Amino acid sequence: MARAKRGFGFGGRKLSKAKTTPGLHWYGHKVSTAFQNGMFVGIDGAARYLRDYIKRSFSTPKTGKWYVKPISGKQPKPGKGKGKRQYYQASKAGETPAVPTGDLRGSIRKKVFKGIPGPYNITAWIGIFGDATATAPYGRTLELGRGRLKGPHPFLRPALVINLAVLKKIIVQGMKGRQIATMAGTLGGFEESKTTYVKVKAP
Amino acid sequence: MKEVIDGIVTALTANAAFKTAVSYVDADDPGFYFGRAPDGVIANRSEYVVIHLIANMHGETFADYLEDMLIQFTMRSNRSSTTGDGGGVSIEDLRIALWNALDEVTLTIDGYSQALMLRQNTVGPEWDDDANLWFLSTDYRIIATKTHS
Repeated sequence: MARAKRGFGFGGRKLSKAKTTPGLHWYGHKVSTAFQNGMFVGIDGAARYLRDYIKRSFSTPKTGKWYVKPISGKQPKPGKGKGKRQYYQASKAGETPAVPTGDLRGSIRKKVFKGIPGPYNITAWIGIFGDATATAPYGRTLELGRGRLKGPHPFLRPALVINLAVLKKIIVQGMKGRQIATMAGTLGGFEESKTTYVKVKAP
Repeated sequence: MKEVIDGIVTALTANAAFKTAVSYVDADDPGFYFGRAPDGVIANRSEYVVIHLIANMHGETFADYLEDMLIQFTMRSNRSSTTGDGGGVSIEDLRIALWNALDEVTLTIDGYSQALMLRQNTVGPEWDDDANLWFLSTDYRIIATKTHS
């Protein structure tokens, strides 16, 4: 009782101070985290979209020469039942590569990195990397047109240029979708009911 | 698109340093080619540049037509640097000459109000075993604006 008279409430709180000083909570780190998470979701969605688009783009018609389709094992003799030779049309320079085996198309993957120091905190890789480089080591040669090729057979860069506007939209949508759920909880601290104003009755 | 390519050729032809770098002879043998180098060039030339169209996007606003193009410049030379391995133009000389000729250059094209060259990725230089030459590629993005007539 003696303590209460001196202006202290239960638990040692200074009731008189709380009466005059409004509380302010800093949620900057939570907002930043929510922003980063939203950005990650958006970029991940955009990377997935681009990867799938690149894979689909391989099925565009080709205008190059016809070749016998390579298959695993020995190529069968022509006209022998099940083992008939199969042919595929190669691509010309400027077209996406043909798909004689599917190794290149199957090697395209995406990976999104978070928390990388530098200007690009979240980075997405779409293409052939990691273990896939062993499956389709010729991907880089086709994309750039090195070696004996008469020009590049690009399959990564056109997809990026064509879809730039769509990718931006996906990133924005991803951020919005994520933030609606997360930001609401984060910003809840600023609601009036959760502020630290304490009304104390005068003794 | 053809006008934009013509604009690039005009810009390169007007640049004396680039013409020296690619050993420009005349319009029939300029040392830089669109699409593919003619047969025989690889055998006769120790350095050349090939221009490839990678992607072309069309757009339109109320006032303008837009063309967003990605173009690859493939440079080849039998020398990696200006020092060592004999005479001639190196792949580094070609790169410097091309960048100086095109970096943030506004192309002059009839009918277009704006066509700006923006340099993007560069790969190389690296030795190409199959072609037996050094290889270097640089991409340029061109955003060309054509006013509605």
